[in-house]
Amino acid sequence: MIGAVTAERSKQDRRLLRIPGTDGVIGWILCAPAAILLGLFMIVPLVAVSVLAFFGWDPLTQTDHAVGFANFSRILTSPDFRSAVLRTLEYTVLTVPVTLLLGLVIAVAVNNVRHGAMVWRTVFFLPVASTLAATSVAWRFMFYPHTGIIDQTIGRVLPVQGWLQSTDLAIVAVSIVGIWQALGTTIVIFLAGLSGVPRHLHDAAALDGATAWSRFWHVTWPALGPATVLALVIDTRDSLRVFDQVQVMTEGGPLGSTTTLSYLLWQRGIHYNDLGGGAVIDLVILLVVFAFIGIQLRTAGRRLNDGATR
Amino acid sequence: MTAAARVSQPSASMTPQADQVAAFECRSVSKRFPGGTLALDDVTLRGEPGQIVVLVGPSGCGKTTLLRCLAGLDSVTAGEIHLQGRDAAGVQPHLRGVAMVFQNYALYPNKTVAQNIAFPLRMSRVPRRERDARAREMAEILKIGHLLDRRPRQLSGGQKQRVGIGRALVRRPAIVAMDEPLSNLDAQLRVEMRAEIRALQQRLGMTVVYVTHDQTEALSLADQIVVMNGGAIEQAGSAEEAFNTPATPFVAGFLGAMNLVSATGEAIPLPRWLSADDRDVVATIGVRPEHLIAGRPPEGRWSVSGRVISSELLGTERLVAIRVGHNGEQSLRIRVPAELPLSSELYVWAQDEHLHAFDGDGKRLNGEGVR
Repeated sequence: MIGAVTAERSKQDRRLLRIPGTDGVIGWILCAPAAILLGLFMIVPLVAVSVLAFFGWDPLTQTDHAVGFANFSRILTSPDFRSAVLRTLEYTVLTVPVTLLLGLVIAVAVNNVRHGAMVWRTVFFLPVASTLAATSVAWRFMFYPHTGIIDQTIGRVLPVQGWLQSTDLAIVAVSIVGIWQALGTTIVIFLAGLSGVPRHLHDAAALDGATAWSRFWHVTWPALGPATVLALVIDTRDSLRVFDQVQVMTEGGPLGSTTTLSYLLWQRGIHYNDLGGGAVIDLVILLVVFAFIGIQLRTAGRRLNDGATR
Repeated sequence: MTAAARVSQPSASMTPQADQVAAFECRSVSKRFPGGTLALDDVTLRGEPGQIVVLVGPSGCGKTTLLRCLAGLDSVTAGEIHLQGRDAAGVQPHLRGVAMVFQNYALYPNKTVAQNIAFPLRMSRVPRRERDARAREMAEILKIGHLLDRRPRQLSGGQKQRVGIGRALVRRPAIVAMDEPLSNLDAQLRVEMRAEIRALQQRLGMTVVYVTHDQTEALSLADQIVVMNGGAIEQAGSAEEAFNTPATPFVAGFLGAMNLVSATGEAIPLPRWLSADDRDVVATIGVRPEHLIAGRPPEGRWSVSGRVISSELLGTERLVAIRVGHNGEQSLRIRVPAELPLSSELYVWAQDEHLHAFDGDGKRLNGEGVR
């Protein structure tokens, strides 16, 4: 009965919204700004890259010409590419779990601070607000061999020195900066999630005799499902596309040990003027990001939908 | 009400006795929130074992705060709370023997009904087999035995609240605090659940502290009704007592919507039974709408007349409002039979014993000899 009334009502509303003789043109006009921007900045570049991947640039004749799948076979079989894939995965494995764990711990801590929570929130969000390329310069100085603050402090205690010159440590240094940068967003996502945890659930758990840890495990963590999945997807996406601090701090070195896919893309496409090759790498990055997010949503999506907050 | 007067002597009997240890006792409890709001103002209250104590009052009167202080979810600023004769200061919520049922159920959304009910037992490390059995038994009592594997989001409001009650009762608490447990349910279900809560309470012999803003619910459930206003107790006593002899105009107005008119001025007569002293201090006269009789009054009865300003059909009766008083600035509501023809001007009168009087401080005046 009520359903029928509402249906009738919405039919009336739709009639009221319709302007006679326009046949939905208004709708298209209203959608146009968003659609045009989406097309210009998402669809067109994607198509352009896809097309470029099938073209080669001949420096002698200064002309483009179609090369079929030559770019693909050349890039996908090159040792540089395989190494870059491994480096990118290594970077992702080094950064994402640490970022999520640290982000969660810090968010819970900030959430429980009685005074000055705003200050802490700002402090942890600052790296997000600043330009990574610029702050990477500062980080490069800090990691500077022998005279940098890190070698002067940690280097004196632990047998780790000259991070950026070491094929093992350079990727770790770049990861540390990546984590530092990504933490801000992650914390904000978790804080938003935490603010959605109903207080009465904590009250109920306290009365049921749950310890602080049990309260976290049985109440907070289930309610953070959507926030966790969101943070995971965003951090993974950013890690798979890492570029800024690599460019500024190591330029892909030493010996290619920090040459990630995005850096290789830049090197190929811009530095070596191999636009076709760069386009292939770009498509690969796109596919890898899609694949990762797809898997994550497939496996963790239940937590996203559960939204265990009610 | 001094502490020395009570000797610790647990009794199986449910009737309150002077020497019995109170289920709970608040002694001059005050609670001030960090913002400065005084939520509880010198509250002294005693609940006997096996009683349903109903805290009732308008929003923000402090009833929920008092409940949370009893449960240990909030701390008191001043005063003492004793539970089963022991000072509860600094005792963790789960060690107080107080369980709670929440208005919005507060069920763990990711746990099944069985897991929700068994959760307090799990937290106190009861072996799995035993807690499963007890959760099942509790669910059977609450008629939700067939829902054990469901999750909260698959349940109706009434079913959710049964789970909430089950979770509260499963560890056999001495006191169950219920914070407006039926407010989110529809009217018919509310009446049913009310009766069930009463039956359950008598079957298990527990003490219930029940918060509500619904006066019908309060009157029907209460062994002891506690009317609160502005953080303080206006009146505590049996439901009949609070309804029949309200201690303050607030209680009179809150329970049963008594008509309250200012006694100052010529137009409103005073009850005959008021003593000479009381006649000097009386400020407010109260009479319930159902106790007013329309028509010419018999000689010597308390009566007023006024112009009809509104009339509302309630079914077999009609709720009529009339303007009375010196300049007609006050109004009285009266219940008259629906078929009674209404004139624009109405005489109403009341029996002496149906009149209530209060002084300027809101204290009840009882007169002498009349009752």
